[in-house]
Amino acid sequence: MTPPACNGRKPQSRVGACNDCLRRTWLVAALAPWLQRVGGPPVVRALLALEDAELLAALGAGAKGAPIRAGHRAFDPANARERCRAAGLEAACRCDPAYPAGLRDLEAPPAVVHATSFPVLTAVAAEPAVAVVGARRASTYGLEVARALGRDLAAAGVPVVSGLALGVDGAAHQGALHAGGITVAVLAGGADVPYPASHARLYRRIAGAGAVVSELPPGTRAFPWCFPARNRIIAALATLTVVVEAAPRSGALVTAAVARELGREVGGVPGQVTSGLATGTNALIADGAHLVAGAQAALDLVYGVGARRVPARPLPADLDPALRRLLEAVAAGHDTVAAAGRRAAGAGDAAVALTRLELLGLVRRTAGGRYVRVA
Amino acid sequence: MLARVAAFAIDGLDSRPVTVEVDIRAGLPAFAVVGLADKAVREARERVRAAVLNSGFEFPQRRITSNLAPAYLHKVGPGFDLAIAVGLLAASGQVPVEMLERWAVFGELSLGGELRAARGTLSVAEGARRLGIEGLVLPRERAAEAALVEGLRVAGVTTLREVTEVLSGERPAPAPPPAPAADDAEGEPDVDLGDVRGHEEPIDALVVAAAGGHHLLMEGPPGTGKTMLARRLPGILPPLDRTDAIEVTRIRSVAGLHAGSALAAGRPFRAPHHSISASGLVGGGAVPAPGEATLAHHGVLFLDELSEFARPALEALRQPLEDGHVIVVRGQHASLFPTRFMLVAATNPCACGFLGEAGRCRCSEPDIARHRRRLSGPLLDRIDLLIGVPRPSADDLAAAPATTTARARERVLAARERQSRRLAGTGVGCNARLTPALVRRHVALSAAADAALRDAHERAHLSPRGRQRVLRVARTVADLAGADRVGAEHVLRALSLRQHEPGEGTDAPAAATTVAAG
Repeated sequence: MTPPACNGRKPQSRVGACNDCLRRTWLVAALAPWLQRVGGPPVVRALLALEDAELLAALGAGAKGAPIRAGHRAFDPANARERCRAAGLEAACRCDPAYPAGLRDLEAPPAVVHATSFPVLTAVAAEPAVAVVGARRASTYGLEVARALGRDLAAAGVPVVSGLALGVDGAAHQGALHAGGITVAVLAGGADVPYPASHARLYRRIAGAGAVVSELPPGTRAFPWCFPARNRIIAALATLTVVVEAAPRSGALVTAAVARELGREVGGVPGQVTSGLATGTNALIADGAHLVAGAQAALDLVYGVGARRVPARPLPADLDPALRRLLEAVAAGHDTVAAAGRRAAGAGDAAVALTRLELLGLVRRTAGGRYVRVA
Repeated sequence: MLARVAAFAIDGLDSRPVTVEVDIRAGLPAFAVVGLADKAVREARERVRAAVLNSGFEFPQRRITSNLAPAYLHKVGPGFDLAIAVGLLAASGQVPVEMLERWAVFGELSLGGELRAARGTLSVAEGARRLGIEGLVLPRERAAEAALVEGLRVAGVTTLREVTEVLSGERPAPAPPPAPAADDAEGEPDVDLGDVRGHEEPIDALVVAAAGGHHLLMEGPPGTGKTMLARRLPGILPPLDRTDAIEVTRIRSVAGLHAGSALAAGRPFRAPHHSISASGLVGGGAVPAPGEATLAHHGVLFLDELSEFARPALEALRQPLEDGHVIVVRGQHASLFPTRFMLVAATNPCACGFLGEAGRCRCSEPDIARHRRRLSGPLLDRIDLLIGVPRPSADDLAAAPATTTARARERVLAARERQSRRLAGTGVGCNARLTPALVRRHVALSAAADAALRDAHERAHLSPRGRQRVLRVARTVADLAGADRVGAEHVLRALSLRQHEPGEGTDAPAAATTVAAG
């Protein structure tokens, strides 16, 4: 499969997808509104496993399907490649060696994978990656855990895969970026459309330091069925899927279910039994998922116990001993200025000392006058 | 026969001279009051008739017309009763008119002929002084208040009969009341910082706020003592000087809140409920009356549960906060009310209130963001300090009180002293009102302080406005420490009191570690 000659607009942009796969992708995008109407997730899943001809047959012989059948016949792959390049995306299809191997395990692998950067995606696919997914309406605890997982996994050199969604997904990406690691966001719609829009800035940072990926052609709008479909790609790209917080019918549980079907590892972060956001994850753990209390547990699952460690984040060597004592006090739960100051006398004005620690990135001031040790 | 009596109408916080003309002539018995009088003034007819008869005077069975001039001015309230009654007695020859040419009268009448106090005595006395009037006859319990105005003779009397005796010279005008002692009804002696256990850090922050005149927001779970702390703020502010005290007294008097009769001693503390309307907060009404913002002038305006206040009410506070006064326009009439208060707002950190208390908060991050958004906006831009008020631990409660009101006030006074020396001639009284230009001129940072500020810019997403706020507060912290140059520890303390910046803590860029060891 020789990639077609590029037009000079973006020389590094490589659209290595064959005509048949591009046509298939076009068809799925064109059928997206119909797929949304036709039935629930199992129906959509079954339909997407069909060949093009069968799919068109399933569409029925009515007049409504006529433009799609006509479009399918008259499909122009050169045009599709051009649109891909214009959107700044690269692509690879099932027939391409650059296609991420993990995706081939899927029942219905995406015909074409679009990405902002294929070298990054190839690198991610070459070694074990961890997916960190969870609730959009996450709690402060959930976000804190997701951010720490993202950061520590990235610091240990493990790519972090997630879905750019609000809440846990976004926090995991941010953590990975914070540690300067690689992170991959899989989108439900076109990979050139930041979704949700409020994560546009995060989208640009991921596109800059990692890769944004989608199976649908550029500009495609995401229909509700696209989200479970996207989740299957997250699960297939990762060796281990960790669910941070999930209500009983959360999309993150779809990701976990796919991962289990693919024979990949599944982990859950335990939550408070009184919290609705922990129901899904606690049930997952009860069902045999691994209990993941932190990045080290995830690394042990992926590489074997003790094979790879979360790099210790050394305290600044020149940290004042009084500040060090104050930091220990905060970590031990003496989290107000008064309490921390009493525990670590000699730190001078405790509020000033805590602000020093804050500017060093070692503690964070939270609502209502309390400080937390940044894990 | 025609008689004229000098009286005053309350207009906003000032008084305007009004001439009460009473004309009595032959005709069917009638009593009319004209001249844009409100209902209370028109009802004066009934009170005057009863008071005149019950005081043993004759009520002329003729046609009586009373005119309040100038006719374009709205006259409100019962303060014209006495002027109309005296005018009526003069026009019917029952009181000589000579003294009425040089004296003014002010007061409400009871049906039995006793004088009752009316609102705005101090404004009336000041108006009389401006007009060059020799003396003022008014109810006795308000004599001390009127006597605050120097160069005006004050006759405090109790009945209509006594008024006529004073005006006819039968009885000497009562000696001016002794110089009024400070009125302590406002100062709350039982509210002292010495009673507060725990809250060492919030109290220190409160001292910073008082020292620089900074508006502040307290954030903490319900029941931790935010209101208790706010109530103790007026006590640590510098005492009112005479000019300010007179201003406060005038406002309280016009609003009918001045129970005592002399000078208000304490700084006002106003805590309106969150159901208050915009006009309740900044002033309003058909005839503009001062709102809570004006009642808190020179004192503290405390808004508890800030997120519960209606947005229009909070937005209405912008002009008062910015300009130190508010202009309320109703119909063709504009009134200016002063509003130099310190704003103290209090809020829960999240909708359930327990954010930060281990495991007790049930809010999701979007809920918390929404709660913050409800607070955000132009009002927060004017607030320099964010004070976290955590629930005190058992250890905190066992500790000795951090300070007392008297000790805190001493520190505040010293810091204010430094500020007024530095800012002499700029027209700015305290650090809270430093303009960016004045910040550049007067806030000299040490190298370490500058580095700390740069770090904060990187790590804490300090916005340009947030930076200005931190600089103003750092100046105050340095003033409290008696330092001319703002050092790193002053900037750090100011940073520990900065507001949450949007995006803070979510995606901090890589560490910039220039502030290392202490």
